Amino acid sequence: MNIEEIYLRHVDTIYRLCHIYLKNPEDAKDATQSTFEKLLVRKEPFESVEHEKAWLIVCASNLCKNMLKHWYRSKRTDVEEMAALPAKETPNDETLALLYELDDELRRLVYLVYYEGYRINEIARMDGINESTLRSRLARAREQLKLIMEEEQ
Amino acid sequence: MTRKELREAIDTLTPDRETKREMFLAIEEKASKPALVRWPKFRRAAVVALAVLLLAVAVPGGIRFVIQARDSIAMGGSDVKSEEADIVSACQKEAVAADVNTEEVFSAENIDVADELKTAEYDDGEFQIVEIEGVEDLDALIHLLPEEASIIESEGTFRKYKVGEEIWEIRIERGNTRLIRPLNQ
Repeated sequence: MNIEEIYLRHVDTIYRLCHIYLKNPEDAKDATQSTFEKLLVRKEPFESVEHEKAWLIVCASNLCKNMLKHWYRSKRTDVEEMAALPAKETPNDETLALLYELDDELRRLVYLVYYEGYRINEIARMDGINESTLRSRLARAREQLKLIMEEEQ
Repeated sequence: MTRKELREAIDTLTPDRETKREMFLAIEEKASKPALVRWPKFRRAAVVALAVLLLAVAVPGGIRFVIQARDSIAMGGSDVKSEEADIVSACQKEAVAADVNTEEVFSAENIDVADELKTAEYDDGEFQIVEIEGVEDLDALIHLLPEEASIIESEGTFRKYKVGEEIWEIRIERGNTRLIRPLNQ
């Protein structure tokens, strides 16, 4: 298993996924590194490149969820304090800002479906979730994106 | 929002060459370190587990040592007292050996079992008492009861048995288990 090859094949996907989950580049970097570090301890070979990618996506998602939980517990800050701080580095892109307003899981789903081109049944298999659940989540995500846009216009 | 706009927005999140290189170097660096260095959390967990194990082994032993030392002091620190105790104990043993009923109860086999359990045996003039030190188990002395014994009362810390005309008790007191039976006059 050549780590460098795998890294070069999937680093973009994993970094973007982590960024979409964690909403900031530094945490995204950490999560991406941790994901590939997990790969170092994996003994079993992958069946295919797709299997490899799916494994990394699931691994990165779990790491991001853990980081979010940890972040929420350890670095929770009052809104008043937040207002006093200088603005964080955020993408100027309005579309991305709208995407970031979705729930964590919905953001991930939108990314995997509309950017990575995954089908609902593939994500369902990857996550071990019912297809209909994912379909309704995706519908909710679409609806939320539309609603947010209508509100802001 | 169109799909194209969404894709373009997400495209901006793609890491640049420098970021990718930086991340890969960090991964490589960690990969080159041995497992314990690579996962300091694991190492810390191992140290804590070892410390807990040592405490679990050492502290109960320490407590037992303190209890034994305290008991030996309470039973008489001087050699004279110890000798007196031995003499009294020997006399008691002779008296017990002479007792026919006692022989029935404390048969050779039963005494062997009782010895293994570190029993103490004495009488207070009215009752004969067999005691297991440091054991709180009402069943621990049950083997000393004769076959005809029938239970007549039971609570959490004691049981009363009817043995012929006599009432015998097995009782847990001060961390020890005692079999108490009336002394035949």
